[in-house]
Amino acid sequence: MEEFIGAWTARHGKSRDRLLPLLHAIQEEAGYVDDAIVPAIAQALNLSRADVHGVITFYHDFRRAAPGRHVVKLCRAESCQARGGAAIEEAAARRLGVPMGETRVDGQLSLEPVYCLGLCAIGPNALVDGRPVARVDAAALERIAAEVAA
Amino acid sequence: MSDDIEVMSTTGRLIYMAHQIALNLATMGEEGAVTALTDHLTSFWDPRMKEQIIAIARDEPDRLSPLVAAAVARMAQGRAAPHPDEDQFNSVNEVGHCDAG
Amino acid sequence: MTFARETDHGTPPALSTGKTVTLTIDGQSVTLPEGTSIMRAASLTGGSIPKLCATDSLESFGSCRLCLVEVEGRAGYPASCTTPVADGMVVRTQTDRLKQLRRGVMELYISDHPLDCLTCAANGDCELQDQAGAVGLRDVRYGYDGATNMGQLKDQSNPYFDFDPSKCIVCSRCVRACEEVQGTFALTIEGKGFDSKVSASQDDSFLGSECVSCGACVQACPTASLIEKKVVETGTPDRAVVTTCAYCGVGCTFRAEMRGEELVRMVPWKEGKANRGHSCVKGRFAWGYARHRDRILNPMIRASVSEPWREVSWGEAIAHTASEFRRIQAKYGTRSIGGITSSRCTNEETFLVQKLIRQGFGNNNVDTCARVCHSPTGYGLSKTFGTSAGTQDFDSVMKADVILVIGANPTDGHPVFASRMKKRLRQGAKLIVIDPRRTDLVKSPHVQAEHHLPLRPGTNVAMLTALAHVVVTEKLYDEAFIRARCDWDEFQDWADFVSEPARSPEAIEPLTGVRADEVRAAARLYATGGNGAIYYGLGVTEHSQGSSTVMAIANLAMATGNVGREGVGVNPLRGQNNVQGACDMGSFPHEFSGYRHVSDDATRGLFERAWGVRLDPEPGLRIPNMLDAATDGRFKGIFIQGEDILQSDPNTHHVAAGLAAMECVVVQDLFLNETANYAHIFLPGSTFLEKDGTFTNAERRIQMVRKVMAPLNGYADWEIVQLVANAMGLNWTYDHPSQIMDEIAALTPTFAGVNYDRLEAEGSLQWPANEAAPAGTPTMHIDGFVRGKGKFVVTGYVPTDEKTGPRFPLLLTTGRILSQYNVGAQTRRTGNTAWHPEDRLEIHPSDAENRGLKDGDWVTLRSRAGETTLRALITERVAPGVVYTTFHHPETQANVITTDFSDWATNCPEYKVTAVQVSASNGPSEWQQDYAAQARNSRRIAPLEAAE
Ligand code: SF4
Ligand code: SF4
Ligand code: SF4
Ligand code: FES
Ligand code: FES
Repeated sequence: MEEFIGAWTARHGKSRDRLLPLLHAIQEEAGYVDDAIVPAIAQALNLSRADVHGVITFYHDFRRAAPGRHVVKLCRAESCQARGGAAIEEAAARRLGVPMGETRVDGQLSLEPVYCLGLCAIGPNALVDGRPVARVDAAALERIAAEVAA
Repeated sequence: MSDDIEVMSTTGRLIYMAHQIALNLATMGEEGAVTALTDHLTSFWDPRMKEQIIAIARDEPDRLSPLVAAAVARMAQGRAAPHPDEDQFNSVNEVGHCDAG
Repeated sequence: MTFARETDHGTPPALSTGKTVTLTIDGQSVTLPEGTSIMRAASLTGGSIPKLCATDSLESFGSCRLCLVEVEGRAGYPASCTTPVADGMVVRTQTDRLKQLRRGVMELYISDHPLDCLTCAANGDCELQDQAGAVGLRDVRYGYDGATNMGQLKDQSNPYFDFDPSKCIVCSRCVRACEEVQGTFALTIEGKGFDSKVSASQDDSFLGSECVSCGACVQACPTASLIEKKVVETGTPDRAVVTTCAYCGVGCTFRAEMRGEELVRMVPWKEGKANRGHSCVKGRFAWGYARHRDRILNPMIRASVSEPWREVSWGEAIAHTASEFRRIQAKYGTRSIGGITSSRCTNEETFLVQKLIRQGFGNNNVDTCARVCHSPTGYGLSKTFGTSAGTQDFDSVMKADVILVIGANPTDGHPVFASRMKKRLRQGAKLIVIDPRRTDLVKSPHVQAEHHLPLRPGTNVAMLTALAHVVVTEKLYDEAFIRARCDWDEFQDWADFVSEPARSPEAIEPLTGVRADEVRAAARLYATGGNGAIYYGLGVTEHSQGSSTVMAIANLAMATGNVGREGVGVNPLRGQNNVQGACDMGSFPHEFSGYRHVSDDATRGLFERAWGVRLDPEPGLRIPNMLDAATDGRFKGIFIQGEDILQSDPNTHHVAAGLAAMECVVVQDLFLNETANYAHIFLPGSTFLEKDGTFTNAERRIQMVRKVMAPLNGYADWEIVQLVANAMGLNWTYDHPSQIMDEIAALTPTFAGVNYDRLEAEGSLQWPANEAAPAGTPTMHIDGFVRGKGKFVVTGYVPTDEKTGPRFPLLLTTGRILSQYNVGAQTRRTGNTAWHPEDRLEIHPSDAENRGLKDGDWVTLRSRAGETTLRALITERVAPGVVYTTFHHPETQANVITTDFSDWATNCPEYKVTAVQVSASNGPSEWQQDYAAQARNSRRIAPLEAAE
């Protein structure tokens, strides 16, 4: 990972405002930004560890642990809530065997919250490995479960 | 203690110091350096160090470089003026009394 | 004195533009500098707007929304901390609507805050509590059943303060203090929204993070979330006394906050002109040594150093001291005794010790610990500029454009000044570092040197001459300045000398090991980058060419016109709290106070008339020469105040031999230090908390030290010197240190305008303070050099005789670290040991590998002077071929290794270059074992018999 950071900063610069693009690049490369790599990031951009840690934890988009092989995101924002999102969230956690916000012990999938996908009229909505799924109900959950079992 | 230690005798150290100063003043040219070294010895060396180096110049002249020897000679001349000698006390005399306890 | 917190105007003063604006606040018309916030404006006019996230040590942030105000003609309710005043503005700070809004905001804060105010350590000293009162909050409508952040675990890892997240209101004042004031960037707010919380580094404990324990966050915290352990233990203070830190030459002033006779905490004083409200871990927290059980409180004597100490009364100890000194003088002559003044003690005490020696001993055998640190500064700067002191005040750095740091590590040695410097660097000033080690300044969060020239130890003069070579040959010098201010002929001689091809960066590259193009670039930057300011430390002075290096620095500054105004100058970073003062007070064997030679008849006459004795016109012995003379049997007695020469001076064997050859060694100190192992009389000293006096910091700033508690040992140090003097037959009658200062002022032209009344009124004075400069002198040499024309001195490079070779292939250089102080007598007796429990030897990975060493291995460090053992720390901070260690712990005895080579002009020891070998080891050296046994033996005490 340190070589990756070196190569990236050589291409894109190492001024402090490069932090967000670098974090995105790392997440793309490794799937997440490991806490252990934070000192190297700080060193590369001449920031403190705290600076980098603050930014990573501020943006929900950045993961600090490897995600499951599949990622299911359920919308938790107002409209989806109004359309039964809370119940679906519970059902999903039970059916998929993983609490909200966590990765299943076998590493197969992560269940994560998301806040509004812009599909409010047809909620509750989900993203399954980046693909939107509207009107999530029990049947939809079964399909999702099957999909992420692979 | 290990025998690695090279101990410089106090006389040796005095001679070393004089030459070290001379070396650092060397960029001033010969005359300048002699003047500056004389001045340095006069202003910074305590009387007994002065006497010691004067004695060395007299008894073991080979141990001093020409520049150092010239400065020591000039410094010695300047010392002709009287100075308080070894055992002259100032007006404070005797062991005082203690008022502390 | 009653207890009141310092006023907090909420936001810092506006950067001065010279313009003012006039507005109306709550019906009152006020005129203020442009850029002032409404909050500050209201505070300055006697009002007060509730606030939580604002404090005047930090830039405004605008996050808490408690400080809302109404501005006529503007919609909404702007935050007063982030809204600047404007001409004609009409502001209302107290309306019913505002009250309601503020109460609403406060209610939300309190709904997630424990309501244990009555038992909280900060009760009565909490801004949240105050502000809740100020907005009239009486109850919280939300109840406490929802999710809260209460009940979280406290972080108690730091030895001095706790962090309790439950009480945190996430105002981020601590985070901003760590960034803006301290410049360490150890804190952040982790997460966001309701989950946000303060995190040290990556959710580490404070102790495990980059935190350097400066205390800025604790001071900034408006709640009890960050709070001193001592306040938790003792309760909140009830009175405060302003005094000056006794550790380093920055000279931070503090409010010593007391509860009765007990010191609760030291809070950096916002009015302090040296520290501007900031502090480091030592001054802020490491004062517990004052009450450490190791402190010696009774005088002790013994006939020989192999006997145990015998506690005696003060009367007996003083009489014995006087009679021993007189006995020795009667037997061996007037010049057979001498003394050492301490840079840790006050100006008044130092002055008295040198007076005791000149007047009472009748000779000039007085020296001071400055011998081993900044004596070359005195020599070099007085030769070139005419004064033995730095040219600027600390504020000056905020106007520098290029900062050149040579042989100094301010983030460790002068931390509070380093924070200012880093702030300036973050504003865009450029930095050049000349140092064998990659110090923190070279690269640390948000700061990076433009050029780092990692030269081989011992090649400073060659390097500075090469910089001068570039300045002269590329015609970057300031001819107008030189012609007006210096001697043009001397300049030309110097210019010819430095221009020779043998002095070019290319020619010296093999010597220094630094790439010539880097040297050229650095020279160009310093000469042409705007205001160039040079800061240097012991890495310059503690060399065989220390004085030459100081003069080479002065030459460079004069050649580029960088002297005589703000933002430029030549600034020695003085080590000890009062090293400047000790030098000023006439602690050197050839000089009276104010740097006047003892052979000068007029000056001597002045002192002879004042003191009623004849004074010796010949210079006395310097410390190393005293030890030599002792070895030769011609120097038999010494009075050492507050200095541990056995541990701090080079070539420990030489020091030990000299001390052992004396008949009477008197040590006045707080603890049985290492030197005391060779002492016959021990006089217990007092701490800076127990006496009145003054210290003079590296900016020549004279500041008050005030007694906050009675001396545990019975007497302040100046009183003890007076007792000895009177026992020797002098007739001193000082009742208070102010009378000593009056005597100093009467006898010292540069101090003529200094007295306690003025210091009380003005807080501090920078000498010269006299008729010519009634207000003191922040910047020196403004209209001309003190000596008249600035003098260019040709400085040839003379390599040290301490050379590496097959037996000793590595170069050892020494230094110190933030949390410990020099020989560590104080800091080792505080919680600071959490950061530096032992001295380590820094060694480059390649050198370590060659020797089969792993990190943490015990190694033997050997030079031609001696050997010791310590553990290795493998790091790339040091270059291959160079090793580095600190000298804080007596077990290490790093100075067993250092040699007795010294500066040619001043005999300042060459601590920074010793040829050594490093090899694997399995335990302490023979000397360490022998020494430990002897020390144990020598420290035995037989207590004072009850009936006296
Ligand atoms: S004590 Fe100083 S360094 Fe440590 S977190 Fe607080 S402000 Fe930062
Ligand atoms: S710890 Fe104190 S200063 Fe820091 S965010 Fe919390 S309340 Fe504010
Ligand atoms: S910087 Fe120096 S003077 Fe200031 S608190 Fe620290 S040790 Fe004391
Ligand atoms: S609220 Fe769920 S998609 Fe907008
Ligand atoms: S004090 Fe102004 S927003 Fe906090």
